[in-house]
Order: sequence, then structure tokens, then C-alpha cells
Amino acid sequence: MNTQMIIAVTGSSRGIGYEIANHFLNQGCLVAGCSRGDSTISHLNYRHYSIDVCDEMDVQLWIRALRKDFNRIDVVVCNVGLVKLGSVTGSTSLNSFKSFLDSILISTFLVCREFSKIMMLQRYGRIINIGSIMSEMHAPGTCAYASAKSAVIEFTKVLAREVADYGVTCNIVSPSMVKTDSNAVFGDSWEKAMLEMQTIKRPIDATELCHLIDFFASPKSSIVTGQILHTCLVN
Amino acid sequence: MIDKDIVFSIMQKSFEGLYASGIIDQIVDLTNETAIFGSGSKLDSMAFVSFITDVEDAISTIQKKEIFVVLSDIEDLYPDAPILTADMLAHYLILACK
Repeated sequence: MNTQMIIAVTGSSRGIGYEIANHFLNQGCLVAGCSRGDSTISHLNYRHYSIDVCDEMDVQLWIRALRKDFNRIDVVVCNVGLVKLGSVTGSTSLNSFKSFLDSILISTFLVCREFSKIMMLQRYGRIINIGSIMSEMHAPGTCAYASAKSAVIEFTKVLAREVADYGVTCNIVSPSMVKTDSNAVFGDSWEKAMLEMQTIKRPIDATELCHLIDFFASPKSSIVTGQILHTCLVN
Repeated sequence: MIDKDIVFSIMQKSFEGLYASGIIDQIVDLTNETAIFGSGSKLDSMAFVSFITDVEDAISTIQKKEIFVVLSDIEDLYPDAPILTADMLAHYLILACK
């Protein structure tokens, strides 16, 4: 019997997802990652699936493939999100608003829905969603992004209640500004303004989030569900 | 070609499996009117997820095609139905396999 932890990570080809996937690989876990593109991780214990997590059928087929390939999934880290320039509400197009909802909220719903089913059946699971400090900042220009991330928090708490009796926990890691390639598009002045609003006034490295995820992913964390772990306060 | 007898046989087998594993506490003898979802169903949320997963897997294997149960599609077929019965689910699955 395979006793290695089996971890699924969405958005594993870059950014936070890439670091999380590598972190679990370094711990000896089997990792099933996904992204729309090809794999950027080459490791014996890593398997990549090219899917769009906003596409219902893609997600359903992915989970069915995972059941066949691994037979169980211990942890899912739902990390996919759209990082791009937003604008104030008055100049945000409906399409732009919907694209944030799709990439952040709908993808989280689809992935969590399918994984929660397998985890209920195996009577064990750890669902970890990635939030954002933006849901606390109420910063101008984040009407779509922050709203979608706030909705992920509420969704995670509802799901936590629904699956609590089946040994499945659902929690959120909510990072402050993370240093990723995607954030570069926002520019220095935006970064400085956002950091001013945070207690920790530096962008954090994605690797610094991994031990927070370890806490929720641990089998020992069975008494923790529906919780948010923020990396710092908003000033 | 999948037909109602095959679908009923799959559903009955799933009910027997759920009973054998203690997920439901009484055996269900399937009829057209057996409630699968909604008032009168013997399936709680865990049993329902398990039942649908069993049925999807079995039918996908037989059909060599990925089949998923989408509740809103069944609601479209039976917009006024207060519950999902075995007959309705079988009808939906046969259509999904075509």
C-alpha cells in the first residue's frame, strides 16, 4: 500500500503553486499538479495534468483521472487565481469583473466540489484555499479581485461545515503581498502603497507560505477547520 | 447499448454496497418511484455522493465514455418534479449515454 501523502496543487506551473508543489516534493510526497500549460516541474514524484480549472468538464475529468492514478488524495491546495491590473469600479468592465470571478471563485468552487466528494468518501482530507490580504484592505482598484477572494473565504467556511463530519477540513492561507513574476505588472509605486497598508512591510517569498500550508495539511490538524491564517495585519 | 434494466441493476448494486458498508441502515429495493434525492430519500449527503459516484463510474466503464450526473440537467428534464426518482435518473442517464 502506498503510504506517501498525495497532494494536489492547482496552478503548479508558476508562482505560489510552483513553490508549494516543490515544497511537498521535497518532503517526499507524491504531487499531482495542474495548470493550463505544460509542466515546469521535473521530478519523479510529480505528475502534471494540463487542464483549465475554470472548465467544469476539465475539472471533473481531472479528478476522475486522479482517482484512477492515485486511488486517494490527502490534500488539495487550491491556488489558481488571476493576477492582473484592476481598475476602479467605475471603469471595470463586466467582462473583466467576470474574469476575476471565474479564475478565482468559480475555479475554487469546481475544484473543491470535486475533491470534497472524494475526500468525503475516503473520510479524510485537507482542503486548503489560498486567499489574499486584499480581501481585508478594501483598496481602490481591487473591486473584482478582493470581492472574489472574500467570496472564497465564505465558500470555504460553508464547505468546512458541510464536510466536517467526514474527516475533511477546509481552511484558508491568506498571504500578504507575495513576490511573484505576476506582481511585476503592478509597478513599484503600487507595491509601495500596498506594503504601507501591511504590518509586514516587505513582499514575502512564496516559500515562506509553505509551513503555513503544512500546518493545515497535517493529519494532526484535524481539529482546525473553517479558519483563515493571515500572514499579517492590515494597518 | 445501455438500457433501463442495466441502469437499475447498477443502482441496485450501489444500494447494496452502501448497505453492506454501513452507509445506509436499511436495504433499498429499487422501484421507479424510489426517491434518490429529496423528500423520502434514504440517502444522506454522504450516501448520495457515494451512490452517484458509483453509478457514474459503472456507466462510464460500460459505455467507455466519461459520464457525469449533472443535477441541474435533470431539473431541466423534469422542471416541476419535487424529488429525483430512480426512474428519472435512469432516463437521464440513458439520454446522457446517447
